[in-house]
Amino acid sequence: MHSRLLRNGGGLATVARALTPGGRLATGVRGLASGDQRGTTAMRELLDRALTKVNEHGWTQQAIVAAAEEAQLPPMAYSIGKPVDLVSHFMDRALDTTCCEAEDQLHELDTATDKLRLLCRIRLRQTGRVVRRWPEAAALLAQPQNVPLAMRQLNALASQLWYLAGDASTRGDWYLKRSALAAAYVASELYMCEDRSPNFQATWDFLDRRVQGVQEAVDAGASAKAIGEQVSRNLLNILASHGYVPR
Amino acid sequence: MSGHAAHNPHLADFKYKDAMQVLGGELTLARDEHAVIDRAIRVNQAGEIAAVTIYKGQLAVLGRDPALRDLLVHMRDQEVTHLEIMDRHVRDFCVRPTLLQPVAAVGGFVLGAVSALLGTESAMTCTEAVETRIGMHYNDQLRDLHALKYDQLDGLKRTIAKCRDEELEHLDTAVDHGARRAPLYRLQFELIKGGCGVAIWLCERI
Repeated sequence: MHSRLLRNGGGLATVARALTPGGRLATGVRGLASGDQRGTTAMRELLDRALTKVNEHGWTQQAIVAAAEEAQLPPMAYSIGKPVDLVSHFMDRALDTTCCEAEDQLHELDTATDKLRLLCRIRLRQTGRVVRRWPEAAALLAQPQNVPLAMRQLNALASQLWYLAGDASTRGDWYLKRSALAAAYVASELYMCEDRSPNFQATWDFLDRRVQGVQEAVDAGASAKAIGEQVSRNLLNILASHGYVPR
Repeated sequence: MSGHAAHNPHLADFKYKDAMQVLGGELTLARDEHAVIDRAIRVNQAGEIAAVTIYKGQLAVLGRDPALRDLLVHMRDQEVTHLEIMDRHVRDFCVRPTLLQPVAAVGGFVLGAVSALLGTESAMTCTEAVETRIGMHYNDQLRDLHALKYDQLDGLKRTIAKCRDEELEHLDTAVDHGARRAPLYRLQFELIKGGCGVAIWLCERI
């Protein structure tokens, strides 16, 4: 931990400077928001720290304030992000972690289905760390103004996982595969929130069945019409998981 | 402070990457750098799909003239090779293909067939206009890719440069076959070139 703090010292110092009283405050914060390189790093450090507060405070400003206090920044630093930014940051990090962890294990598996199953499990384990708080995040993502973000994150997830599973599609089936996987993943994540079985065993069983369903959907979608139908069905399922469609 | 990891065992060790690996792990790109390549390859693939179908449309109308047929078949085969190259790039660079692929395919065929129905010269004008716009577009892309400064992108840049050179050959061929003698040449040329610009803009985004 010490070494990480030392390494990140520069970034945190940037926030501290940005938040010193006087005229520099406003410019400093604007610099953070506009993606200035050092500012962005500092913002990520703070959000990383805030993620460790999520189990305690939920996806809230309090989590960010607690992180700022822990980093000995003035609590003003909460203006660095909204709760939904915290959720988005979590999803970025969780996907990165998934890619890193999967690297060593993927080559042992042969079929795309097995690889997807492994990748989804690793990704769900990240959600597992905050699973009691995840319904709040899902609710934030389901707010209409956050739907584009949710869809972008879901696309990043499905696209990255299929890429790692060695997918070679370049036409309409690209969308078929991604949407089927996204629907399966979102469903499993929701299931996980209610899962009380030891070590999420029920979730893994549920996930296995969903991934099998992905394979079947891909096999079924041979013609353009079938692809269209299947993609719209997958999108409907994703929206239903977000609570938009009465079932 | 050192307890940061210790009192939060659940979230202590998130990996730091903020990047994407492509080319089977050979190249690591920041997300915004990947976005540049993502757009570039997406529009190229759509462009080559349209190019193949433009020549197919022209062949459907002008295919009876043996000399013209050989010429069009040769150009179409080159475009098919380009499309295979772009498909490979879509896979290697983790690119999202455009949703407008079917539109590009149908639009290309209609453009090819209609221009061919207006006469051989008009078909050649169409080729000249399309290839002019595509040549410009490939040059813009090469500049963007060059700005990224990765040695691993050399292969990509080389294939794009090769495609561009062949597209410009098609342009010369079209001019040699009387593209500029078409009725209302300027109007046709500018209309088709402008349309290509709009298509490029759309395919980069959708």
